Amino acid sequence: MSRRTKKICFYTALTLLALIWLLPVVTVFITALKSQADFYSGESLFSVPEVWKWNNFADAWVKGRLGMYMRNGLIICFMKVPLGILVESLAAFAITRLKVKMKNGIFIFFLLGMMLPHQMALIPLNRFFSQFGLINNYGGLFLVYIGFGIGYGILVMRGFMRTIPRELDEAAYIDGCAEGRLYWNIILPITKPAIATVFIIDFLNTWNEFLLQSILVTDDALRTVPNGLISFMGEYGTNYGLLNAGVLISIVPVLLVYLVFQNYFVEGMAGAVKQ
Amino acid sequence: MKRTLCVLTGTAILASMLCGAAVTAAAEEPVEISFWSLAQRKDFEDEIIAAYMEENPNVTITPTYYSTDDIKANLKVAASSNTLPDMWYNWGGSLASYYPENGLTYDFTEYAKENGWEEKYLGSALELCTLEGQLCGIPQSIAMMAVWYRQDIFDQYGIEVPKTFEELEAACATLKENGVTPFATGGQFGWHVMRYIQDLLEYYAGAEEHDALGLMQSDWSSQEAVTKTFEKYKEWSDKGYFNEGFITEDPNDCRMYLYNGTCAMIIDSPTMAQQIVGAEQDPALYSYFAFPSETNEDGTGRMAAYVKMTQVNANVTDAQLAAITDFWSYYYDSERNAAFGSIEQPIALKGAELPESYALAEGIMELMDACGIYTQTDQALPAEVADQLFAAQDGIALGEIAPADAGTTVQNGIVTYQAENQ
Amino acid sequence: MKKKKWKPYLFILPAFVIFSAVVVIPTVYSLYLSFFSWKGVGAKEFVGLKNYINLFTVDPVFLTALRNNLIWIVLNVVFTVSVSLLLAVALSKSFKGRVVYRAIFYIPYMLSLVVVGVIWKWMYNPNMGFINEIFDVAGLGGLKQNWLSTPKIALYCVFIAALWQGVGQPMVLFLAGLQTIPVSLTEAARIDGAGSVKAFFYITLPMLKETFVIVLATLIIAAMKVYDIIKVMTGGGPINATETLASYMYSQTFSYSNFGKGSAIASVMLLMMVFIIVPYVMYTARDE
Repeated sequence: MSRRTKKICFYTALTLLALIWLLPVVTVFITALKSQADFYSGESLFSVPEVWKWNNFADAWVKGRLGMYMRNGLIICFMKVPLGILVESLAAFAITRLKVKMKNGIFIFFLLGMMLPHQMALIPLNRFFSQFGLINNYGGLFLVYIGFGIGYGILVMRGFMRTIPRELDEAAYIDGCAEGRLYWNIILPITKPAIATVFIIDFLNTWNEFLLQSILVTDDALRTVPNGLISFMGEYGTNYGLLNAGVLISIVPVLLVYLVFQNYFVEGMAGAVKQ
Repeated sequence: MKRTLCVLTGTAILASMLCGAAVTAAAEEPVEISFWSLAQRKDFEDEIIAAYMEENPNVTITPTYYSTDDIKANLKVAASSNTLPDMWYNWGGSLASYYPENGLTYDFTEYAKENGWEEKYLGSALELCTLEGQLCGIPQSIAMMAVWYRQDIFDQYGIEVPKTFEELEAACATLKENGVTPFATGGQFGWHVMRYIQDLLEYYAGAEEHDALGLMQSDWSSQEAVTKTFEKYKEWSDKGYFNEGFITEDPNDCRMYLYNGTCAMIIDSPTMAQQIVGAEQDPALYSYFAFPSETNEDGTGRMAAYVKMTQVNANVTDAQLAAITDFWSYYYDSERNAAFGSIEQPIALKGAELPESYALAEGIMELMDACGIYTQTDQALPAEVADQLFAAQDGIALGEIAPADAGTTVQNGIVTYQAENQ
Repeated sequence: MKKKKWKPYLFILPAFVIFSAVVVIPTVYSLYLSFFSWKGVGAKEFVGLKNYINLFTVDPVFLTALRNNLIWIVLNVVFTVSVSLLLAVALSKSFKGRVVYRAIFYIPYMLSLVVVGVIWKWMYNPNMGFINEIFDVAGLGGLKQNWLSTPKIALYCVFIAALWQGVGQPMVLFLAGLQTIPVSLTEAARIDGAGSVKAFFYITLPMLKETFVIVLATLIIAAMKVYDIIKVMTGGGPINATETLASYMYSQTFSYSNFGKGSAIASVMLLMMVFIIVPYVMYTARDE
């Protein structure tokens, strides 16, 4: 096969797969533009709306109070995610590059945090939090989010830090670097792809987190995006037009974060690892 | 037997009182009340609360809204960590009984006597709010199950509203012959299919025996009526009387088959009236009738019903209690409450009229009074027993459980439950 | 030299303190509860191992749920890993529109599982769903199914929805992992005459060892905890055929108020994950 036919095959296969992947998303778009009557007409999910209800987006924004919820979500994500990454990378640095006993033991200890079903944590957390007045307190919520995110953060960053050659550390120590500077000046910059990865995924998880928040935050003015979407899913029926419009609005920030960071980690990495 | 439905008897011979007349919110010291409610009520409840607080500046009501699933779980979490709000929305039956059972709710029995609740609220609503021998909440609305149907489809095939069970079956046969599925249902959570089961059970077992089954006093595994019920359900399911794939259909989505005319009937509560309007359908095409389970002389049967209520924390102060009852009087006062048209109907007050948004359900209160009610099965049975019934429903439809064995499945659930809750 | 001994632990301290406060204490509390019979309020009655014994001997649903979780783990490890790895390798090449393609495969992961469940429930709808429609159009009407109402296939149908949603995350991890492989290595192999397939298996895969630890641990844990999408699409039915440990734990705790039994299920979940993941982590870390 010539280079050209190879390229065509590659593109065709990939585009086909991408189209399949996009199909369900297309239904979200179409449904977001349908009226209730249109949706319930029982036509196919792919049928073109009879009347294009662009209004659904405005309604979803207003009724779902998405403006307020998204602002809260952004505040929480941009505070929690970097803070979490700092804590996680410090720990990952110690267990991969410093003299620490029982490295694997410590690592697995932190992994347990990922394994605990969140539902089981609700009762003790709620009890402690109400005793210490941490309900409706972002500080308290950060602690819980960071705590539950630590397992994943350390898992990812440990993996990447282990691939960084040891020679770097030795050279740094010879140059008179202390551990703190080794972490900040050398290891952390090299770990950028891992940081970007954790940032993207943790941002998304925090953005969509619902269970812990619903019990630890009872003040509506402090809640985040999922609360805006549930109001479209009523006891007796879901307003699918508004729900889908709301979903599309609410993924814009996560999509932007993804696009910015994925670009960053791909390009930013190119030279760093070449030894 | 832990759950007892105490039947309130007799009508008190008291001077008739107007709504809320007994309550005076004279206290001037500030009163704070936390309130958990449902997310889809946020729009109008925020409005009502703001209006109420404007009139009563010393009262602060702080609402928190949850989805239907979250409020159930979060109330349990709050109960087990001692952080329940001052008042909260709840359904009736086994969902609500947990709280009076554990002494967490204010018992309104005495309060109701002193304040003439029997004059004010529907007897059936008070009855359904009485769990564990306590009047454990302020009644809000009552839901009774009727068969909602497409008038135009009935007309098209010359079907009359069935007056007997036999006529109902004949109607189903006619519909099916003409390519219309008789019933719409969604079995994903079990309770929607159960609406058909419980009406069949009412038909085959009769009122008294049906109640005994609901109270778990009668053995499900040995009752002929139970077997007949499941056999009929199996027959309907095999004949295609329910929509294709109904077993995992979402009960909220299955109304769609009525809207688009693939199905002709659905068992639903009066909120159906509001749903039809909300889904932008033509209301003129719809009406309802009582399921002909023939427990009454005219061929109708008792209607399955459940109540929605506000439960109040057992630890509220007198001032809080006064403000809470005053707030709910305001809430259900169509004159004072500007958002009245949005709240769920029919409300549990005597003599209340349905707002315009419920025009389709007109007359349903009278029908209920004529037919009588029984407690909806999943509210009569504890959740884990109801789940066994739901599994049996699936199993029968799929041919994995014989109708004759399904009663045993339910009875096993009862035995397990009773062993765990001695 | 003395200084060095405790200093490394300072780096772990913040993580340790936060983690202990919000994760370890609830976990221990949950383990503790699993030895009691408790209705959520009132006195707890110590019952020893009874909750565990009942789960494995008399409980009608627990073993089905356990089996479903194990199936889910296998499906996740086989399909989610291979599809996401394939995508990552394809999308790590530099070509025009790469960013767009990457975004397309990642977008489903941005939707919450509840929303994904709602979308796919409609896709599978036997009356107006897209999938049966396709079979109709293709003249394969005979293959139409009540996808989610058939106990034998329901779980796999739900998994397909989860796969669609879930490949984005491991794909991103693999993409990042592929970046750490020096281009010089694969190029050298090519020059030595190794085909691209051979280069992939002998160079790329071994170099992704650390990424695999991350991906597998994440996917196994996710498989053990799968909950939302099941709840939305089938509610655990039909006849409990799609019940999982998490959904069953939820019912026991919050619907039936059997807090002790719910905690016992959570503890079994935790133990199983530990048994699967710890040996794997130890194995991959052995060369240190």
